Amino acid sequence: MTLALDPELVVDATPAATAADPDSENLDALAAELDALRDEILADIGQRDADYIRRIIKIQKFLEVGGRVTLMGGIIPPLWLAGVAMLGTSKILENMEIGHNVMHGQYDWMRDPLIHSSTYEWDNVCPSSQWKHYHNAVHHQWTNVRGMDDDLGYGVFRVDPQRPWKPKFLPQPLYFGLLATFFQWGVGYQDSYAGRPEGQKANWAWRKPKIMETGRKAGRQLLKDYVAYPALAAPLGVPSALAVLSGNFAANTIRNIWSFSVIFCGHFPDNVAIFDKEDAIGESHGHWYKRQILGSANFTGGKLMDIMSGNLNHQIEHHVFPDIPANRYAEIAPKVREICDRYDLAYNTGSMAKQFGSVFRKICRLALPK
Amino acid sequence: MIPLRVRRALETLTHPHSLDQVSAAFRRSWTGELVGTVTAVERLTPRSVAISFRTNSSWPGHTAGQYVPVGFEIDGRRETRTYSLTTASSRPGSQVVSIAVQRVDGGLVSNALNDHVAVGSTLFLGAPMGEFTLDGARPLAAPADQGPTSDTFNANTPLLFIGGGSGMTPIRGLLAELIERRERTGAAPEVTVIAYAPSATERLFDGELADAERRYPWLTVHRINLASTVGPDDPNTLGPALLDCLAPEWRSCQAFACGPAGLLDGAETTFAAAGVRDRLTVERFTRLLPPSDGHAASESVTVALRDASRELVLRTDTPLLDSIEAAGQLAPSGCRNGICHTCSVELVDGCAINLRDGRISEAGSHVQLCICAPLTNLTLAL
Repeated sequence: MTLALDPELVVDATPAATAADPDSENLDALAAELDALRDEILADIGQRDADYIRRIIKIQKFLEVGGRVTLMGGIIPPLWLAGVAMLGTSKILENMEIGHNVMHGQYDWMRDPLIHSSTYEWDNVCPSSQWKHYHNAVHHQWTNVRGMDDDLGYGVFRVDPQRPWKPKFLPQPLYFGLLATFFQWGVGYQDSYAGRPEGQKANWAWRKPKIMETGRKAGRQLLKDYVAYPALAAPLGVPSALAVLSGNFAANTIRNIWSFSVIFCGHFPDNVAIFDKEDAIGESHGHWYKRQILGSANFTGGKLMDIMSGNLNHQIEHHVFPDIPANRYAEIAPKVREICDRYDLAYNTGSMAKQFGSVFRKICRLALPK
Repeated sequence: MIPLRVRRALETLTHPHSLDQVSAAFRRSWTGELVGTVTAVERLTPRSVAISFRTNSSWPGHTAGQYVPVGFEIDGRRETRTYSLTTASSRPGSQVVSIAVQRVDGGLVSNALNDHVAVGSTLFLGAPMGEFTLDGARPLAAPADQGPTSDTFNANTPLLFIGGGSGMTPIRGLLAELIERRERTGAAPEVTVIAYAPSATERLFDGELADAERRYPWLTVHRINLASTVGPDDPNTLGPALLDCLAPEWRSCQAFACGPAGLLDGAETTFAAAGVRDRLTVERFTRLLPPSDGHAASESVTVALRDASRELVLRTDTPLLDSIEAAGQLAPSGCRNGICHTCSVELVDGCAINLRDGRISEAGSHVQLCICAPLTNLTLAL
């Protein structure tokens, strides 16, 4: 099978609009329209959204408790499968529809201390404070900007054809599979790797506290899933304890692979734009919107896909309005799309299979020298 | 109440979620938070309701006359206001206590509590506070040369309660406490109540006061119908003449006053003029409101940083993040663009305005420092 070079990858080489640029008027108008849409949604946020997130949390907790109890009988294969399905689903919900969205501050307006970005800790090895730093403050501000957004390849993959090829990229299809399987660990250490604070010297000193913090949280997570719960099943015998252990591992892996897949569809499918630093620094509010739209990709799916992907199948809507409750993305998507059409901004979407396929093909293609 | 060790052990299994986060998903009162579940709602007057609720096991108990922050979810948002507890002192643990909520014209929470609370509703509580209590009555700024004044509750000291409008709520609590103490000890001081209200139908606890007066010979209740806008020359306004008439022993009473500002100012003046200001305990229901004329031209306000123990004088036209940093103070920040919420900090007291959309934030909410400016003197949890 030959991998054809894909010439359609759009790279936005035009400089950011300046006051003298005729495009700036257009961008100002775009900003005004999107700001108005944002205000419209915010005015409507209320009981419905509070009820929604509480319902999701309730379902997640039921699935978690149900899954863990079922896994206690895991030496019986159908119970193991059912337990893994329930626990895996609960971990996916907690990671995506709940954790990611709550930490974005999407539900802070509720003033519920149990569902607030300043207190929420999500159920994987990544400390919330580090996630909020890297994801909210860096990735969402510098989305798809070369040299600024580590999510462009996570320091491992060559996803940008402008990046010079090196032999180390050859095994990247293999890394793709490895990262998918152990994704929470990549997420957990991303901020220690890429999150150097501005003005901080490039040395070991700033990394160490972050690495230690992740290590501490990881330790408690490992204790929970691979020591404490198996120990609870130990009175039923060693095979039962092992069934719980393997079930917990399987549930974590399912969550890793699924969240990896959803996230990798967000900014890597074909025709998503990558930007230069000069384009982004000092950009106007309208250019920020434009960059968020051109730098993100959606995939299609119904209500179930919305919930299971944490509404990240609406990646464009999420990047345009990261702090609006995600349960609103589906209903505003037609309006956002309509605005994009009018301003001639490509709205990248397709089935998850198509988007994911194009991502995998890109990983394989860019593993090779151009 | 789950013992701490057990809680910690269980949280090994729920990590990183707290036990509260897990139990709250099933029933909100099953947490270490202070939560009340409404057990009864009774209309007192056309403009007020009495709400009884059962506290969960985290309740620390309260002393009669204290008030409690009450949070109620309105359109998804938890809004909190303080209300006086109208019941006698309670022990720690799951107890039934009550508040009475009178409508404030245009008020968000008072009207929601009047209209939307039902049996089973959840109330988010704070710890009881306040010193408007029988045993805690303290003189305000007692003159230094008077030495320690005997101000603690003494069953022999007559009591005088002056209440106006919703100011009757803590007074009802004190009366309930006195009645309970009477049941327990057989002793009760002479108590005089002066209850101001715009009219008989609007007087809180009117029927209960009448019943109590019939039942307890040591209790006397005077009812005065008076609009709060009436001037000082009205014979019914609080003053030495009125007190001499209704409670001749008032100068030697332990007095408590709660109600509109005018009533309380009058009480303070009267008692001070008689040289017995130290025998009067006053509770003012105040609430800092944002200016009604919108965002004024730039002024300077005082911004207190609670955790850093610093006070800064900042301008009302500059985002808090910029001016706090310019003053050499560290504040959390991320995108500095209103997106990432890293700079989101709790507004402990005062009001701030979002410079992007004009939204006003009040105490208890979080503000994004990078896009909010102070409206009034305020305190940040920073």
